Amino acid sequence: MKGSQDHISVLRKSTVIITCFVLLGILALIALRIGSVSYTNSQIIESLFDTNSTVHTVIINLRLPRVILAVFVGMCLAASGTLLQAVMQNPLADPGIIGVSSGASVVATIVFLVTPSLLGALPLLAFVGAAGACCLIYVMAWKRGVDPVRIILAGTAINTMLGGVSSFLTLLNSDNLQGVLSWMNGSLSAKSWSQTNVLIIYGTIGLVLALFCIKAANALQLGDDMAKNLGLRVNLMRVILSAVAAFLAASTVAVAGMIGFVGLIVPHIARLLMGSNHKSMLPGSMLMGAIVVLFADTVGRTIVSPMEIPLGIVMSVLGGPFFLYLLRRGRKEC
Amino acid sequence: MKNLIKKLTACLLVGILAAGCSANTKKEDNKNGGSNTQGVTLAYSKEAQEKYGLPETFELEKTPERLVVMTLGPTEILHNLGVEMIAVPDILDESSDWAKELKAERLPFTAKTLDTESVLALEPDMIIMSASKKEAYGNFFEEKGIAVYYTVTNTMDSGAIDEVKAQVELYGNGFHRDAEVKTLMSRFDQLEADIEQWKKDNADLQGQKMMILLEAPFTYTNTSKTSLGNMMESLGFVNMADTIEGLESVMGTQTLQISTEVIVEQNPPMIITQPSGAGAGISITTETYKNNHEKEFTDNSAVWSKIDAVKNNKILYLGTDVFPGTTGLGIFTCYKYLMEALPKL
Repeated sequence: MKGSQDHISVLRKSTVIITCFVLLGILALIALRIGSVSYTNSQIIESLFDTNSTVHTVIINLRLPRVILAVFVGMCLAASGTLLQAVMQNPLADPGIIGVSSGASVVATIVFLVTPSLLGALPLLAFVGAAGACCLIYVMAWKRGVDPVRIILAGTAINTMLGGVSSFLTLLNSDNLQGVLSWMNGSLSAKSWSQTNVLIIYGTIGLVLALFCIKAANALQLGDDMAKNLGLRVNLMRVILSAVAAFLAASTVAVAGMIGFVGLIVPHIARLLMGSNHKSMLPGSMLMGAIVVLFADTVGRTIVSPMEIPLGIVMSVLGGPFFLYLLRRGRKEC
Repeated sequence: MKNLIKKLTACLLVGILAAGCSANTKKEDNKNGGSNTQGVTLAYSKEAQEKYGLPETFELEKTPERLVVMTLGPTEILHNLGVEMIAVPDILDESSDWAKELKAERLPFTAKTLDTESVLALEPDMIIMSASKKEAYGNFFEEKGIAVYYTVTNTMDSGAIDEVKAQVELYGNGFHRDAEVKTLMSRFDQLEADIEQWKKDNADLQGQKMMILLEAPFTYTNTSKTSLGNMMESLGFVNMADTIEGLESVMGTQTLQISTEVIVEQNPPMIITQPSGAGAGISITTETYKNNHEKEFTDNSAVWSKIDAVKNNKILYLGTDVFPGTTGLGIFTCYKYLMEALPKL
């Protein structure tokens, strides 16, 4: 009986993963096909061989890097949220809540408004800001070890404080807000290979590190005492997992701006479909995050074409109600 | 007897003092032109009346002696009309000649939050401010007994020059500065004549297609209903943004979001670019602005090198050092620069 349940469980997980891959592939092809400018299938195929054509420029140098960027943004944010929820043993844990996004946001705001000559180094500087915010949270939350509740409270406090700093900076420079606003809304608009390559590098490093954290995440999920009994150095692993999660989130924030809800709702969806074992849940989250972000970005850039709705706004509109649905469903099951 | 002499002397001194004060008051009244009985009459457009519930006209019985102007638009116009101001926004281009002459205090009026105490401390008898701040601050000052005139940004139904001329006439006639209005109108007549001559001298540029894009990576474009767009149209250029299918104004703005795909597809042969926030206090030199763009063109050359304007280097960069934004009388400088720079592109 138990063996057949495991078998079904493995079958279900495999089905979900394969379905996600297929769905992602189909969505990617659709995203390449549709956009502000319409082309026929034959035009698109011909453009693959004609590097001088406008169609080639649009498909290969605008849409393709954007699709890849959306995939990586989704994977990184979902992985970050999954790790944070394991570390903090709190289903509300999200890169935005622990202040990572706010730290990156403050640094980016300073660069945009005060020192625009440093725009070339924005991804690195934003990551420094995010990592700094994360360190600050742990310093504030540390008291003979780290408590998940104290981390959330410290993260919320840091988030609020850094949000106030960002608002203050924008108040002082209210005549020069355009670049900052489009970044703060979270957008993949006008991004090309140079930005995509940056995230591919940072994102790949972060995602590989996240996969190495699966065992620790599973142990932490059982509670601190059980994890210690399993031989895990709980506080150290908590710091490492948080650092990896911060790295993943900061990488995306530095390139694409503030995008919310991915790290919050995608792990919940993955948990519903694949169970709580991070061995399948983490890769599942990554794939589902990629699908969600790619879908949201494609909707945002086509629904009012030739204008675009920033990805961050689409995620807020889609993610908020969906999160409420998850909450209600969770309450009913209880 | 001695008491009588003392009383008479005291009365005489009081009388001399009163006469002296009266004379001084008369002298100060003449600073803003004419006696203070002329007053000020400024009209509100139909749009302003409907949108903000304003009356047909703003009227002040006496010419203001302590005028505070909290919005950039009318500041240069009022200065050129000879109207004295005691405080103006701190986002003026201080390198300009007229700003150097202006003695008024500079205060951060255009910030999102306003220190009302600092304004009250100036003891203004009239304030000119943007109608968008009426609810937040205008009503407050009116409750304190200060007369407030609200400026409204109208949609540009007439041309950029006509808009500025209308502003000059509004404030010039309102403050009874007839001679100054006449002088400024003759400058506009000369400008319009210069534009017609320029069009004849540059016949090869007539009908040239171009796009106005705001700051790389160019996610916003200006139609011909913006100040710069209208200026380019008046010089005979064709704005490609006016005919892009689906590109429509949202809530009245004529600075429209545009996708990079559309820019690549349209392939403009000429690009005019100005920084976001130009005319609203931002300051960036043409050289710095150009360098920022060249970096973007290099980083994403796979996209930008396909656009004719970039390939052929037909991009006109409008830094605030050469193109101060088209608010008010800056339009003369803006046209002068465009007419010099465009033939060299």
